[in-house]
Amino acid sequence: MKKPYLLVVLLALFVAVPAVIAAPDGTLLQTSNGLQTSNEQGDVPEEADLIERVRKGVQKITLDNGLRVLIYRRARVPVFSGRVWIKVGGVNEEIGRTGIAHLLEHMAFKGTPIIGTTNYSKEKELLAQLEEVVSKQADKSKITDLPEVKAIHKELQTLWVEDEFARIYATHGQQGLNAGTSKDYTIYMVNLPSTALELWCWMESERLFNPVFRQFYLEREVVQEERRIRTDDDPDGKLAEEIVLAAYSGHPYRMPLVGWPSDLKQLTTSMMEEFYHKYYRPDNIVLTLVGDVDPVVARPLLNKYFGRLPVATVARPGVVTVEAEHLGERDVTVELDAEPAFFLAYPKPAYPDPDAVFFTLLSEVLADGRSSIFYRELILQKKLASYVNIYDIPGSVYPSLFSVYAKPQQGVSNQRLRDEVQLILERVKKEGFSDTQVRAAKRKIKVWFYQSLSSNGGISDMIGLPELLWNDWSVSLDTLAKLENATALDLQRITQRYLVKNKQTFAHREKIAPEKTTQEKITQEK
Amino acid sequence: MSANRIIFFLVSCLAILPLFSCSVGEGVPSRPESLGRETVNYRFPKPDRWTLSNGLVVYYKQDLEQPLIQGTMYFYGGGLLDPAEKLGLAQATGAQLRAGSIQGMSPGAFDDALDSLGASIEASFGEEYGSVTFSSLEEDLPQVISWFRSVIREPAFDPSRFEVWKKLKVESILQRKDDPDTVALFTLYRAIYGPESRYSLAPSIASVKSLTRADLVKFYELYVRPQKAVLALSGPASREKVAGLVDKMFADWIKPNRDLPQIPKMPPRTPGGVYVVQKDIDQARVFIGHQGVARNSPDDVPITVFERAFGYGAHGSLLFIEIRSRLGLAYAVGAQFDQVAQGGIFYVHAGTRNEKALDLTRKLEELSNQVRVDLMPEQMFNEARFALRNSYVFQFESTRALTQRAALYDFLGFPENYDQMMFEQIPTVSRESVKDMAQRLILPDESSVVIVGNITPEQVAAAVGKGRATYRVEFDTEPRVLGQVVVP
Repeated sequence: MKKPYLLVVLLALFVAVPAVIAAPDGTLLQTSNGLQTSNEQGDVPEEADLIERVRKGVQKITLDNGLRVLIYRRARVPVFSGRVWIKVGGVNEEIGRTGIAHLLEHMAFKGTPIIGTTNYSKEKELLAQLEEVVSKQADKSKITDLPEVKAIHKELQTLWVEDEFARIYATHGQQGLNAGTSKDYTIYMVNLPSTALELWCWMESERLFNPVFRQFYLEREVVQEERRIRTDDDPDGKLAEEIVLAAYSGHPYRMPLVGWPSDLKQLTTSMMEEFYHKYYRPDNIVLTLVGDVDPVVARPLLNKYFGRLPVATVARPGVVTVEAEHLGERDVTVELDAEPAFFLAYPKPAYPDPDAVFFTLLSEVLADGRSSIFYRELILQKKLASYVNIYDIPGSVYPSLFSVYAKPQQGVSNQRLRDEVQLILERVKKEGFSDTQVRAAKRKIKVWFYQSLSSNGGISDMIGLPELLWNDWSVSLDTLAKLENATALDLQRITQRYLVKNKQTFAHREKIAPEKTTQEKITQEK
Repeated sequence: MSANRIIFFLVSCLAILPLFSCSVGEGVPSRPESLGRETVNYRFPKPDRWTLSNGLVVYYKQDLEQPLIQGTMYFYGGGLLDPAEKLGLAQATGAQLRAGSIQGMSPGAFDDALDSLGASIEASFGEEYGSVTFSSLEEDLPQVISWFRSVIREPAFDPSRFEVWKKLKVESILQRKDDPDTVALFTLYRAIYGPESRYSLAPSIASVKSLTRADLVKFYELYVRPQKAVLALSGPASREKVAGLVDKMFADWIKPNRDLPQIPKMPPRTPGGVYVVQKDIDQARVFIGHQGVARNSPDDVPITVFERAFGYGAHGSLLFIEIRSRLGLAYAVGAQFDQVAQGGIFYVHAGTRNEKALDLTRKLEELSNQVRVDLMPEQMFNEARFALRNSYVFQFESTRALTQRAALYDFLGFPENYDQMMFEQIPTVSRESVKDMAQRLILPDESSVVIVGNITPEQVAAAVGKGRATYRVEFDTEPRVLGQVVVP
């Protein structure tokens, strides 16, 4: 069963990082016969309901320097999930320096003065020399081609120990070492055997405290390759970039998360240092430890290692620009050699606006599964679409976009399918939804909660992200209770209020023929 | 032996943890290695297993932590067994087992009924085998498992849903060329297996349109049967309750024994060529490969260590360090042995900006050849071996995953203690044995090179085509070799 996700573009080291649900999630829900799993063997879980068990089991620790830690003990397998959440993402970037938050996430794997080098004092001098050469270039895009830089890199190569950070984790049995950047936050994650807790504290605190941005100009190239995979050569990625650009005029949510190629080519280590110091500070960081972790044992270790992070002396920079009200609908064409598709997006409020939570339910009813309205009518009955889904993009902290994504079938234009989508929306505004639909949607969301809370990673997301974004780890767990009280009228009301034509943005991908290259002579095999 | 008393693991070399509160920064070691390298030893938890008299094998492990019951039944049969003119039949049958509803219920009613409970049932067939999966809150188990039974034993194959599937499948075939990696992989199969082999063929628009409901029924009758099927279940319910329900649903499912068609054999191994698909993309994809070995091969242990040390697409593996970290050439890079019943392929792959595609090709070939000639660097190799072994515990983190894994491995014919065997043997693999394996199984002369990017076949032939044929390939919905390129 597909859950309409927040399209958090987690630009991870690997492709397969799951998206995190946008609107917060839930709390205790009484089912008809409760969740007493009466079983003949007589074992009874400590707390019957999983959601309530998680809520009661979370412990929060705040260090003197403001860094927060959430611990949830789940000792069934001797492993734990350790995550570092930092409240910085694409939304904090400036024009001309887009992509820097994500590149910083890559750089956080390059090590410290101790890890990743055989001689830091020598390396430090060389890195300073390198940066001096860089500072003298007006155009920073060809750094690695410069003879002086090649010479410095050649020397640095003899001092560098590539990927030492990750390799140390590997030998301690890590699984799932990864990281991601979204518009709102950066996350570093790893799963380890439970005996490696102190190792985790050492490694994560060291790289937060003392990162060395080595191999920066090489990694700049790697990130450009990543952009090519995810956006330039991916028709859906490109379309997603375009809808967000078009739907936001001024707010920094609009800028591409992986960065413009032109910006990436001009980023320098000095800019990275500046960005790092602004945002990688203890009052901007939350840690989650979920699994076989004893809080009594963890607490002194956390203090010992993470207590070292210095308190910031200035206020954390905020996001200044507010998106102006749209005064009419927007239409953007994207011509690509690919099958057509479109996004139809409407601005929607973010938590803590009380309406925000209903959009999860609305997405469920409209687009999740074969019984959903869009699937049933557009794919099955009218046979106009080959795919329809709803995404909440691009972030969770500021007003976002309720976005219908659809692919028309052969012979159907984007515009025709969009018109049909709008007809459905007009109809539900007038006629509303049935109680059956709403009930089924709530139940599916509840099941999704249980699935999420069945893994260390899922629990980490459920508590870590709300703590980071809203200083309240229970926001997600509260969603179910809020949704329990939601009615068909609430859904109808938000459809009427927000899904209005003069606020919509329509970004549609139209197919063009591939460019013909000059015909080369082909010699046929005899 | 009580199921509740399985000894989960033993940890040797426990670190001594501080009992007093630590003040900030006190006693932080200068390097993390001094924090101890635990060697994790354990016995792998095993689900219960029993067999019904009709041949159906059942795996079950109780999971009291959460209220969902989940089950998957595996069946032999897949795309490789499609009749030649009916490519896509296995996929269609798999999809329609669920989408086509069950006898006695209209598709809309069936969809709504599952939805209203927050339950799900899904089905699919891959190339060699298929599965039907269900998920349900425990309180709804009797109802949902009865629908699960109906999907498996009494599918309706509703004709209108089948028409929808066909249309959507045609759409997805048209979209293949929109993903450069799909283009590259399909072209690689064509290059390695040749134009005639089942292993290089995929459903076409024509073959999909030719499928009939009668075809679905025939495929279903042949392959969906209790003999050799395996069912994996997990959830909070007791074994007794689950076994009772499984009996009720499946014990009377009798089908006469039949010899089933066999998965086709691999085509003969041939020398490789260079295949170029010109496509207006910013990042060229380079895939280099040849035939490999079958699943459950005598070389599985060194292969597993090799894959981790060489081709695991993440930090610490040789390809990642050389191609990504050192050269900044690629974001995605990796190598693997894909092993199936009758054989498989070995391939390396990466993507880089067009102007560096040929450099990348040369580098990938150089590194692949090097592992046959030189021992892998010792520290990297030992780390990979250690990492592999120590992360085994994660295979068993979720009850559902471990139960499904046990069932699937049984279904695929792996020996019963495969994981335990691997866990014990991995530390014994030497660099020499990996080099020996590489000499036998990694074969540059047999390699085909596929490049998809904004580059001409002539440019490619001039740079890397010496001693082998270079072909121009067009990809619309499948690769078509247009002809051989001759460099003047």
